Amino acid sequence: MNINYDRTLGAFLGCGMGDALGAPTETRPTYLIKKDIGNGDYTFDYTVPLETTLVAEYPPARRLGIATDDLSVSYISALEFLKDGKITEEGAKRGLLEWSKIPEYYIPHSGPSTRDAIAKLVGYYALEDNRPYVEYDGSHGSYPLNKASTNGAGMKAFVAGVFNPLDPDKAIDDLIVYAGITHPNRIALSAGAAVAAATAVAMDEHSTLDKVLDAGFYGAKEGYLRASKIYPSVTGSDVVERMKLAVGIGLKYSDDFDRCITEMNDLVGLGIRATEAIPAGFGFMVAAGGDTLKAIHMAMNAGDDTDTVGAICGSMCGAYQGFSGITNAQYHLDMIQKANSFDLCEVARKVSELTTGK
Amino acid sequence: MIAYNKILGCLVGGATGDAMGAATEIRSRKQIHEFFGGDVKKFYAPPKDTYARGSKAGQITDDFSVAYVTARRIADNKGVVTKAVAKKALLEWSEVDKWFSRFAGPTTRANIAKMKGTAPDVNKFDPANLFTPVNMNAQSSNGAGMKIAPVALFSGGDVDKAIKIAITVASLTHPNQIALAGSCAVAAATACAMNDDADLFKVVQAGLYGAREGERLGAKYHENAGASVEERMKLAIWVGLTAKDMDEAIDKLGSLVGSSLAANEAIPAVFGLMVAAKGDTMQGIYGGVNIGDDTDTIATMVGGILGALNGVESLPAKNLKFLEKQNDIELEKLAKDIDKILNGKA
Repeated sequence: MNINYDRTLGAFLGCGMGDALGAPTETRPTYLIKKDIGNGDYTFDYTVPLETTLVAEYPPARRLGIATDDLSVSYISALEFLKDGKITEEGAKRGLLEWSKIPEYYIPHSGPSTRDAIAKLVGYYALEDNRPYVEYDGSHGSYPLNKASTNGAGMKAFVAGVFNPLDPDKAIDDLIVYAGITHPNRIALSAGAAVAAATAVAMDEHSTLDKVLDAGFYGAKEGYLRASKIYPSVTGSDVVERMKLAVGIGLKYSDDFDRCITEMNDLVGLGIRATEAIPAGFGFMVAAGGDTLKAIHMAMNAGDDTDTVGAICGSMCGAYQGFSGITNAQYHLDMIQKANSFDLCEVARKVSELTTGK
Repeated sequence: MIAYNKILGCLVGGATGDAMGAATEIRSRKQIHEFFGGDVKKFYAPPKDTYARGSKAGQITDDFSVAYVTARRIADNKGVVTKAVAKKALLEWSEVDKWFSRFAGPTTRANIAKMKGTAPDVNKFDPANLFTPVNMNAQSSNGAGMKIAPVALFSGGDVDKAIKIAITVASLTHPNQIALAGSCAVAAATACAMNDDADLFKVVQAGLYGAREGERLGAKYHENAGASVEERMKLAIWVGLTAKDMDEAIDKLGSLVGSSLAANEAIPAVFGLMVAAKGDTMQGIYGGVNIGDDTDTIATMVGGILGALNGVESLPAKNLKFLEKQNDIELEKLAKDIDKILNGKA
């Protein structure tokens, strides 16, 4: 198998695995995941989401292997970028509009920032009695901006990495163009750029986990600086500081599943904030030694925004291991493609043809 | 015997932190420095792009006002804390326009609306109205901690009693283990600080005990998914202890621990700042006022705990009268009434 294609597919599949394996556990704390989903123990395979999960807000979506926003936004955005032959602002906007037409993803999973961005494009909030979109007048200072420091830029960031293999700098710039549409926010983009840069470096067949991690820290710092030239100040904790904490926990407990997920949740957190979910994704990648399935197993059991954290560590690890390196890759691919009518092989093949010029 | 100056110190400290932080709330530390020309160490009229816009210098927000009304009604009930009294005080506070409609946070607002049987006005598009989610993780907020230091005075210095009080009062608005862990940490620290032999070390340890107990007792209401208040407190205490000075501590706590309305950021930040300030009331309050984000809530909690530890003399003498005048509240009278209840002079 062509190395670039193998790694591109690995990234898409890793994102999908983290997303679909985490969809049933999302929003629950670990003890409830065990009680409600794992029959008293951790859960490691696909299950049909219960009625109290976010997925259930659109009941027909309660299917085995269903993905949420993480994979669906990434996949549809990638299709639009392929039409343009590169990552563009227009492509990002078209992708978002296309995505908002698919009720099983859009209705339950449009987070606050993404919902605002779509309303800005179409002029109204389709799910909120068509309430008109009003441009923020600045009267509450940075408060509404602070609220956009969420993990939605990070969840889809690997796409900027696979479009720019071995080029973390371009991946960071592209991420800011791509995710700036939904998350015009320094903290969210810092977190997204960390994932984009790490993925770009993970695409290198000579890459090591150290290099991937270095690229992640570089991306977080550079992403913040470059986003600061375009977007206003926001208030919140720091992606880099939290990443250091998360990576430390990952190293310390790489051989102790229980303590790793407990401490990651207790200290770093896996919430909707960019300064929780993205650092936790890096922490699990380190704890798993870059193994896609192992990292996702931690994320899906650690509680809170499990699917997004799983998609983040899954996409980075997937690029690093490649499709051929992922445990039971074909099983996971079949599961996700069947439940979501996505052709991950096709999109990966086209991205790879574009980036390698073949 | 609980010293009167500690009771009054808790009230004046709490009001000082809230009113001073009202001007810096929402801003990052960098933005505070840009706007005010450095760290804020006095009362300013809040800028027009903050929640408290329109307030005068020295006016309090939701943090201390809900604490004040609650403590006042408990005092009127001879110091006996019941759910009924707490609920009545909460509803009374919710009718005060200058405090409730301008400042009430999302969790408090939603749960008061529920109590009144009205639709929550700000949460119209909350997923909860569309289906029944397993958790409301966003309700793990700091509103349970913000109001509890003055209320914890009724413990008379008994840490376990303070925890019980916090659960009774704060579970009305914040029935989840993360918010209640934050509330019990602040309540336990305040109770400990009231005792004559209290020092910062004991106060911090009481806070950790409170967080543990609050998590355990709060889990009986609901367990949300989210980071642990106790574990993040340990991180924050370590940062506060090892930072080379207050300036570094404020920045490091803000960037690593965070200072948002999440209970698992704001309450840990409070303990980190108290340690970094070596227990000094005003240094601790200044830390809260300038850490950025939810500054007034953090500063009011620091002020309540350290005001109780160090007594009212540790705050500028003019603050009492100034805060009473700006807010039309009677802190001295409340402190005297609590003193009578605790020390059997009633």
